[in-house]
Formats: sequence, structure tokens, C-alpha cells
Amino acid sequence: MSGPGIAYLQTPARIVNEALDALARPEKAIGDLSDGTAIAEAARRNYGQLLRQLLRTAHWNFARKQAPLTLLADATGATPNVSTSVEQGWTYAYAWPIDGMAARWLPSSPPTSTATVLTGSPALFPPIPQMPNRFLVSSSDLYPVEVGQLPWMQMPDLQRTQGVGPVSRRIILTDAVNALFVYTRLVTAIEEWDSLFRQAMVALLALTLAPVAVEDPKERLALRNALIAAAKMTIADARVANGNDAGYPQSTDHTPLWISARSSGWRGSDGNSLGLSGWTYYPYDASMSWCGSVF
Amino acid sequence: MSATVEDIINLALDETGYPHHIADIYEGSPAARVGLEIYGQTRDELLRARDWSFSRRAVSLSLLKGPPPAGGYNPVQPWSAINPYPGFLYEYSYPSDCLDLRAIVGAPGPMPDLDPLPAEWRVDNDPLPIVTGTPPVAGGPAAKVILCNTTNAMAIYRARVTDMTTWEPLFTQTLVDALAVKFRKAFGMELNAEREAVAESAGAAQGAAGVRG
Repeated sequence: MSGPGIAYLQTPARIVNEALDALARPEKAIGDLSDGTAIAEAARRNYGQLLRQLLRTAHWNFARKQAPLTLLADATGATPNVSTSVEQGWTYAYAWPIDGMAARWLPSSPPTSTATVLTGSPALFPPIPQMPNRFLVSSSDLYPVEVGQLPWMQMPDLQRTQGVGPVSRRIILTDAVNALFVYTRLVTAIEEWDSLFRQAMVALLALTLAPVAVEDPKERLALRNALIAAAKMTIADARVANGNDAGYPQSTDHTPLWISARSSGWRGSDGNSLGLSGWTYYPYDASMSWCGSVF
Repeated sequence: MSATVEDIINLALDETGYPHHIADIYEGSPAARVGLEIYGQTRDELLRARDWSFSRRAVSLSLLKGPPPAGGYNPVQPWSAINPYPGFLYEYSYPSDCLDLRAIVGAPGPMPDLDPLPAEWRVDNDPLPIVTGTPPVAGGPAAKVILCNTTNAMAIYRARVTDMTTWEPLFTQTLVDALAVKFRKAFGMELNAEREAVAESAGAAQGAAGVRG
């Protein structure tokens, strides 16, 4: 029985060691990713990339985030101190969230009040569901982060910032004022992960570390083939559970577009029906995924 | 566990069947002279050959050069020896007790690093590693240096550990076996049995060389 101690965070080393267990190589367990062993260095090279890759494979509930976007440009010229250069066909350009992994949707009307509201008696009228707004993820060199010759010590840390390069950056084009964005964020704290997501991360890491951890080429090849199948299954299971747990309907934000489109045709963000039916070409993130799951 | 160099040498001599022990590594006897020549080199070879946990060290590195001038190199501001080799932001001095550099990491923050990033690095030999004066001038002597892009870098490496009290028992045995092979060579003895012993102890040592060894 453990006594009182410091409640410390789980570190990536724990995931790496679980992956080594999956490879039947517990004797190669690491203490930290900075150990300097072949395993630790391989894990250090691949951990961040695998985490980002896995976060993009589904709209994980634990990684969902809604946040206001940072305005980069306003084509109307109504906003002081920002550029008016926006790609033709769009009104606003916003910066991609610095922790953004994948776009989900862009609600049409941001809340007007941030005051905390306590639950009281039920509302007489249910809230009107938010309609999705039109948006497009693009890139642009019109809004550089680094201007002029900055000393090296003043350079921004672009390695830990999503979607920003020294010249160009990822942007979100939309016509929404004060846009809110719903997206998958980069979740690095292992405590926040869903347990099935965590298992999928272990499986992916085991697959990646197999060539380093297993010396025998024949065993390595056989193990890798088995791990590929296991990783696919683990990820699929995690995605299905994630979809089932996502709320009803499948998103707490809005009715999935494939349902609304099937029943009533497509509606624009202004509420006007264009009379379209079936699938839509707008990236509202409400379509069925390629494996048949709904996210 | 043996506590002196002489003890290690004598164990190796026992393995070869050599009839005499040494009392002092500097005594000048044939065995002591050979031992003096091969001991340090053999120890360092073995320390470098495996990931012995008792020889792992982490130290903050001393900056020699870098970062490059703002805006990087160009025809007006060309690269010169006062800057780190092109492609790297920093040049650090190589730790004097380092046998095998294993990793470069950044200075730790208040929290564990939950989004680890790899660090690219290279070991070079810089003929002009010392930068002094205004305007700065690079000068010698040549030295082994570490090139990387990590600010306030720390090095994780296998160190030359001469304190035998911190050695693993299996490391001591592997060193004794390796020394015995070299003694046999030096004394013109049969080598097969000793080679087998070295292979055996090296195999056993493999299991003890993990980070938790």
C-alpha cells in the first residue's frame, strides 16, 4: 500500500515502457526519454509525431475544444490594426489554433455573454441549435510570424506551435464575425487521454519501436506484421467507442449534416434552404468517416 | 568486488595461468608493464561498448560558439570560424570524461516534458574552438566539440568511470576476461579458452547493461 506522496504526472516514458512490454522486451525499459539509449532516442524521435497522427484519426471526445480564433485579416476594413488582405470570396482570415490538430466545425453564432449561468428550472424553449458556418482551412504568406531579422534567441518556438512556419502559416477563411472554432486539440497530458486512445498509442509506439527493440530480423518482421494488425484493431475499437460515447446526436454541438441533409435538404448558414439534398461539399465535419463510424 | 587496479590485473593474470601476481602497477615487472599499457584502454573500450548504467552521466554543456548572427549568413555577413559549423546554431565543448555521447537534451523545465522533441547533434573536431576578443577571433588548440541546435544544452553520455566501487560485478568480470585475452597475446599464450570466456561474460553483461542495470 502506497503512502502519501507527490501526485506526479505520467510521462511519455510510461507509454514507451508499455510498448516495450507489448514487444516482450521489458528488460529494455527506459527511465526517461532523455536516457540516451537507442530505445529512448527512437521514442524521442517518434513519440510526438505518433501522438499527432493518432489524434487526427478520429474526433476524439477528450480532445474536443471550442475556442475563439485570432483574427489576422478583415476584408471589410472594419477592424483596426489588422490586415485587409483576405483571399477573394471570404471576409475574414483567422489564425489556425496553436494547439489545433484537426478542424471539426465552426458555429455560426458565438455566445454574447461569458457570465456563468447556474442550472435552474428548465427553459421554456429549448435552445436553438447552432448552424455551422462556412469555412476553409488554407495557408497564406500574408501574415508572417517573423518579420525582419530577429536575433535567434527571439525566434518563436515554431516546433511546438501547430501550423506556423517562418514565412507562411495555416489559416481559416470564413465569413463569421468573432469566429469560434471547434477542433481537436493537441493533448499531451496522458491523464486526459481516453483509456482506449492510450492503448492505441501504445500499439502504434510498439509498432514503431519494434525495429529498434527486436534484434533478430526474422522475429522483428513477424512481430511487426502482427503488430500492424493489432494496432489497426486497437485504433478501430477506440474510434467506435469514441463515437458511441460522443453524445446524442453524435455531437453535442449540432445535428450531423448527413442526417439533416437526408431529412430536410441542405441549409445555408443564414437559414435559407437551397434545396440541396444528400451529401454536401462544405467541410462541416459531419460526414460519415471512411470506416462507417460517425464522428 | 576488487578495489584496486592491481586486483583486477591479478585476477586477469590468474585466468591466464601466469605464475606471478603484481604488487604495484608501476613496479616494472613484465606483467605490470603490460598491465599498465592495456588496462586503461581495455576499460574504456568496455565502458563504451555497452550501456552501463553506472557510467551514464548528464551535464550542462559549456557554450563555445553561437548562435549565428541575426538573419543568418549572407554575402554581407558570411560564415566565419567564430560561428558554429553551418547547419547548427550552437557549438559546445565535449565533456572531458565522455566516452560516448548518447543524447542532447534541453534544460529541464518546471514540469515533465510531455511533448518530447528529438535533438539533432554531431560530434566534430574544431581546429579553432576558442572565440575571444572584440571583434571576436577564433583560435586553437583544436578540440572535440558538440554541434547542435539546442539552447542551454545538456549532454547524456557514458563517462570514463575509474572508481571501481561503482562498477557492476559483471563489468568487472568482463574487464578481467578482456584483460586476460590481451595478457595471453602479450605473453604468446593459447587464446581460444580466453576468447570463449570473453564472449560468455559479454553475453551475461548484455543483460545487465540496461538503464536500470
